[in-house]
Amino acid sequence: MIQLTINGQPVEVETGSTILDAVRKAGFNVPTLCYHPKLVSYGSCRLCLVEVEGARTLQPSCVVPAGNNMVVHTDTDKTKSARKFILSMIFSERNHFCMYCQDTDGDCDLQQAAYDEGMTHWPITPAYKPFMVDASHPDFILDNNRCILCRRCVRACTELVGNATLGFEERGSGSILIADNNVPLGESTCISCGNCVQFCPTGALIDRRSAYQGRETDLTHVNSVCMDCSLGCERVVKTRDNRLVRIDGNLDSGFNESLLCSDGRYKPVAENRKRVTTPMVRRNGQLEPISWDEALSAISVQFKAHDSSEISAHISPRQPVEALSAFHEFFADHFHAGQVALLGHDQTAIACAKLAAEIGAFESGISALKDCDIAIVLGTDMVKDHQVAGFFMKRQAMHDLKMFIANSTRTTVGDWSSNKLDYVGTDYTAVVDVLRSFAKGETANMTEKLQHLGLKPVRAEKVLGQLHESQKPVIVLGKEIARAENYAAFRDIVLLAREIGAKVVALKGKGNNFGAALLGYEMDAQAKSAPVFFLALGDGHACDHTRDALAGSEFKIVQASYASEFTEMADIVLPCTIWDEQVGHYLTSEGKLGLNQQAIQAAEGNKSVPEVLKVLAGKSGLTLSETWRTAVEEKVAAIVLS
Amino acid sequence: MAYYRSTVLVSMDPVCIDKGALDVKEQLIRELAIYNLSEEVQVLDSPRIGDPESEGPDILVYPEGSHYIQLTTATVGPIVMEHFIKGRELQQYKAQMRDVMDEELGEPKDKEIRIILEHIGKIDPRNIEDYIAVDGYQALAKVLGEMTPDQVIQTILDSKLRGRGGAGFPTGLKWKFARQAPDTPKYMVCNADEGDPGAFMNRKVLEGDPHSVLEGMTIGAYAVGANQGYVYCRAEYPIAVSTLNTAIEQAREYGLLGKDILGSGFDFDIEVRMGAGAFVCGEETALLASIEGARGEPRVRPPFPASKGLWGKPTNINNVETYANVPKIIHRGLEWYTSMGSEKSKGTKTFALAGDVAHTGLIEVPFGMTLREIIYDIGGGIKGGKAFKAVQTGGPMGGCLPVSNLDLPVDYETLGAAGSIMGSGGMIVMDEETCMVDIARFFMEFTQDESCGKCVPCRVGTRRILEILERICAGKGVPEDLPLLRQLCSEIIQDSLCGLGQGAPNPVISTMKHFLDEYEAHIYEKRCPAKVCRSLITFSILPDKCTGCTVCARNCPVAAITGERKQTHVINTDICIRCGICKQVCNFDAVVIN
Amino acid sequence: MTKPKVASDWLAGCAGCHMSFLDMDERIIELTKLVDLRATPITDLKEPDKSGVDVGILEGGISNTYNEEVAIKMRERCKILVALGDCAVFGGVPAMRNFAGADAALKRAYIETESTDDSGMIPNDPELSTPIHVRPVSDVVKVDVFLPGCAPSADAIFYVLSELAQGRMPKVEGEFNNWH
Repeated sequence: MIQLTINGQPVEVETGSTILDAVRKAGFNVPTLCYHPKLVSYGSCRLCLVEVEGARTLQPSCVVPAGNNMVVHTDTDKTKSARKFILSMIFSERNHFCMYCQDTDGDCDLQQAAYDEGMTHWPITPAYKPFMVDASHPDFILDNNRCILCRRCVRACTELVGNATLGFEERGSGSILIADNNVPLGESTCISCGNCVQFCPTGALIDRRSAYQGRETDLTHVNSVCMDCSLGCERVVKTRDNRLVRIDGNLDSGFNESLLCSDGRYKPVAENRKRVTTPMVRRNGQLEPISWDEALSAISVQFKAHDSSEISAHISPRQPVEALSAFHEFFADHFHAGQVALLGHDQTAIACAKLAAEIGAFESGISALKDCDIAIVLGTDMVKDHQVAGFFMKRQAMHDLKMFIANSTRTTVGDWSSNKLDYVGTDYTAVVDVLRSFAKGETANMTEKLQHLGLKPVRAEKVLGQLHESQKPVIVLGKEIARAENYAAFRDIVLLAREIGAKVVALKGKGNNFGAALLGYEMDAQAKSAPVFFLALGDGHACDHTRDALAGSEFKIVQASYASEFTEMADIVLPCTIWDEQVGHYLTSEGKLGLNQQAIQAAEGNKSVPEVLKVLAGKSGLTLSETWRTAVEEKVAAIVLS
Repeated sequence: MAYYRSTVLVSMDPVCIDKGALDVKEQLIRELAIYNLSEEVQVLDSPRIGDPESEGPDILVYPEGSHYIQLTTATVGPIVMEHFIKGRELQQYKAQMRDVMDEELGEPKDKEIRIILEHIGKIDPRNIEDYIAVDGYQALAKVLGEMTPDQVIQTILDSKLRGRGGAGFPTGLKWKFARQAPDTPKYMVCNADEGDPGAFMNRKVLEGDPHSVLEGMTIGAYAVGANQGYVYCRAEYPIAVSTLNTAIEQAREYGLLGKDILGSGFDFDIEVRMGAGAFVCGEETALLASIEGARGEPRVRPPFPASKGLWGKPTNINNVETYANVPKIIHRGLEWYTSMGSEKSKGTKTFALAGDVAHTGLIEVPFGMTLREIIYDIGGGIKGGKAFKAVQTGGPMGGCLPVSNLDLPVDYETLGAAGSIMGSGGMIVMDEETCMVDIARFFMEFTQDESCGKCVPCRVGTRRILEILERICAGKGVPEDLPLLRQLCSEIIQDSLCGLGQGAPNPVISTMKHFLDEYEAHIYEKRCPAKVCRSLITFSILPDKCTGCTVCARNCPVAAITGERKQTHVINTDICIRCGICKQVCNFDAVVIN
Repeated sequence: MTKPKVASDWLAGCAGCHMSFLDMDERIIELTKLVDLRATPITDLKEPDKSGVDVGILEGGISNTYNEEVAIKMRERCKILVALGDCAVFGGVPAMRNFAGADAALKRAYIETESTDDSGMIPNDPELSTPIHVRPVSDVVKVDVFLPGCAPSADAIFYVLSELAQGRMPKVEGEFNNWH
């Protein structure tokens, strides 16, 4: 611990803390602009300068480590004049007009810093030289007039996301923010994660869709969890007058460090499919509106008229555990339907459950990915399917992390690293065999094995040669190695991981795949047509295979939020609440139950999947138990190491 | 944007052109086209590269830095074949060692003591045996054979050797910190980025006596515990880079670099890394960032490079001249070394005398010599018998010292107390015809251009100062400018992140202190006392001296002078652009500036 | 004791700040008990008194030579000058013209508009003032009190004027200091 004095007040902080940490702990504050708690401190805006007795110059408190017996003063004549000077310089540099800016009145750190210093005007008038506005990107706008060159966006894009699209061109007063080698943002390598917009302290980067629709204080904030892929990142859903305005990362989030990807941040807000507004029934070849009661009664009649083996029931992984549990209880436990399946083809969660049942818990939480000295990625493309996990990998790849990546298609997740080995193919048995050889140091016949996989021996040696000596190896498993036909390889690699002390992280596909696996669902790899086909599509999508199975069924029931080819061919269509209109839990990749809170009041006529099932159960004389929590939590503990 | 893999500069010096440079260039373009290299190799016109008389027509090929001389259209083909197709230099047309004893470095004057510059021009820098013959590598042998690392550090501490890059930090202490740092591996870095305009001391040493630097680095590496060194040399010094690389190769061949040096078990190797045109990369943390491949921006210290430098590891950085001093100290001894210099600063310092002195060029003097001795006894006084006005020491971060400071002994502390800095050794002498406001503006223009842009005070503050100075020189200054300049200067010094920002206002502050009357004249009277600032002067012709020879009228680039032969000529001040050519060509001193 | 005299004028502004001034509603009666409102765009007098006023208020930025003259005259004739609103303090929305330049703006307005035929021309009567680079009032004359806002609230304007009326310099801070 370190003891120092701030403005005459003694304070104690942990070793490694900065002077700023000590200042804030002591109950004081200094203004900052380029500082951000999630980023490596940069020390460039100089707004946080404080006086340290004995130091030759003023010290930037956000960056300088707190030292024992330091005596710090934050509000002296020098520091106050420094702050006014810095702010007056920033305002004189570019065009910081507040009156028509989206960030004005509470959302701009620069404006707030000016207010805090009691500034009522610009001490030096700018030259009013125009700077470029880049509106080429579909999700956000870059207005260089408002940029204060703090580089929080650049640092976030590189340090946290590992994408390094944003950078700076030229130097000195000609410095300017650019994308790649100075191409329009819309044509750059930007992956639309939108984290730069969130980190920008001013109105230089603004979200297109929500611009001018409300200040932070006008919006209602609801903490939530994302259900697009299986990671379960925490996010904040922002609404106004019962309308979704924007989705932002949550500064207090756990593993995802306040980051989001384009799927979690923009896809929901960009949604423009037409809502299904009323239950419908097909009469004379046409879909006609009917009441809920009529619709549900008609469905109940169908159930009673058929043998349960003739019912095929399918539900979207975007549904919360509550819905999945009720659905499974209704169709599998009570009805013993012919098929009860989750939409999608990712077997990873199921493979994990199966393996854990045999060998005990083996998985580590997603955070294990963040700090490894060698990463072995088998059968998944994080850049496409689990973007935030991909961020953790990419940013380490920038520091030449050793990476061995095997997938049926080439993934770019390791491209920054000069210590990377790619295998493009599907022979996981051979791959695991090679890995075992390296892990055990049994290098006889290695050349042959490597050649069989098309891998160059020199490079393989460079990347995997020290595998047996690695301190922090991590193995990432995904849908391809989790396929039923690869189960032996899946099992072998996990056992090998145990032997060499490697952490295993399994990425489980979509939304609530993990929860579904624990509830006993099979994956919809072989969706079968049936006399009665119940598709709880919700606000998700389904594949062509499912569509064909639905098409081949006699009586088609589709509960969906949006009109689609599925609702077009249905015999009964039921509206469904979408993700922000319902509340429910999602099992995240860390094995924790994340809560998606309701943020919007659904329009009249919408019901959630559990609500529908409750009525259907009633009509069949059943009561659904609504207990799933303990069972799920126990099952998680059997798979994920605590 | 096209990406070329190679660029060829063709000297278009008039002498080269006389010797056929245009034909050589055409032939070159033709040859490149024949081998389909036109998209890969860029051919550019260049001002003179080597000495046109003895070496022209000549070309310089980047990125290798190969200098081919005395070319004809016949020799172009073989060069293209060897260099671009086969990828190796064609030795027979390459420039050999330049005669370094030229106007840049004359014979030593009486009061000079040459230690660093001693061998330049006398040994062949591309032949290690020459260096060995003048006791080269004796110090290294002594260190590896007879001394422990701590003893080496103590010797350097006792010598009171101070960093020659400008800050004057005790070198022994710097090495001690790096030695004490617990982390490994450690690095030894040489700052050869010499960015001060007009300073070329380091270049001379690297081009003429590179082994002295390598030996110093190796001794330091042994003391500190480093096994890898880098020389960061600015890209504008291709010959220095080439000489260094040759020297390193030869040192390796002779077992003086690489594994198990001189059989001592100590490993140390050196690599040359090049800059890319940024003055700010002479700042140590920006230099390290540049070596790492990042944007050349300084980092906040602490932590200092001695504990966390290159790639987060303990790193010792010293200037070229600092390293060059080390073998001499070890070989010739402390008594000899400490007998030279002043109380606090031992040894000698090279300076690049420039400006209005009679003898410009490199000199080397012991610390403690006065400015008067340097400028008058060694420099030969002001050219043309004009009056001394000021001397700028230390480059763009230094201050201007007036007549009253001429008897100042040159030392880190004394220069600092007088409002200037030692810097890397630039010394620009100014006579009475220099406008001090214009000088301040000139240096601020340089600093503004070179500011990295990371921190607000330097990036924006220097720009604001430059704008004010430009307005003042253009006759648009207002009284409020003076207190505003003072405020901006003091804030920039107080708030900037690195030495560039912290030193940038020095020329302004020192000129305002010593030459405030000039500022006031510009602002209140719209007058430039030194008759330099173009907007504030007019040229006119004295009727009683003008003979009507028409030379001025014929040379005026904008045809502002009218007059019949043998009649008094008149300058039209509305058209006149104040270039000064008429004054230069007039043989009768008839043109005056008002 | 005579009441302090207050005069105001508007330059390159939208009159919104004066409308905000009027938004103080019935408090204006209270204000006129404290001050003597002289020439303003909403009263009948045309110029600040030649004998001088105590407080001068300017809304709008400087966008032409006439604005400069008005600002200089106001400065000469008042003791304390208040810059009212974002246009007067920062240049405001009219300052956006600086990004293109006065010439381009005039061309666009008088020659290139969609409804102009070939005879469109930029007015050049010598009586007209010359458009210049748009600036804050403080770039032309010394300003004593800055009250930013687009528009500053009636509460802020009332506070500033009543403080000045009682011989105190107002502290524009907290909720009175809004740059939008």
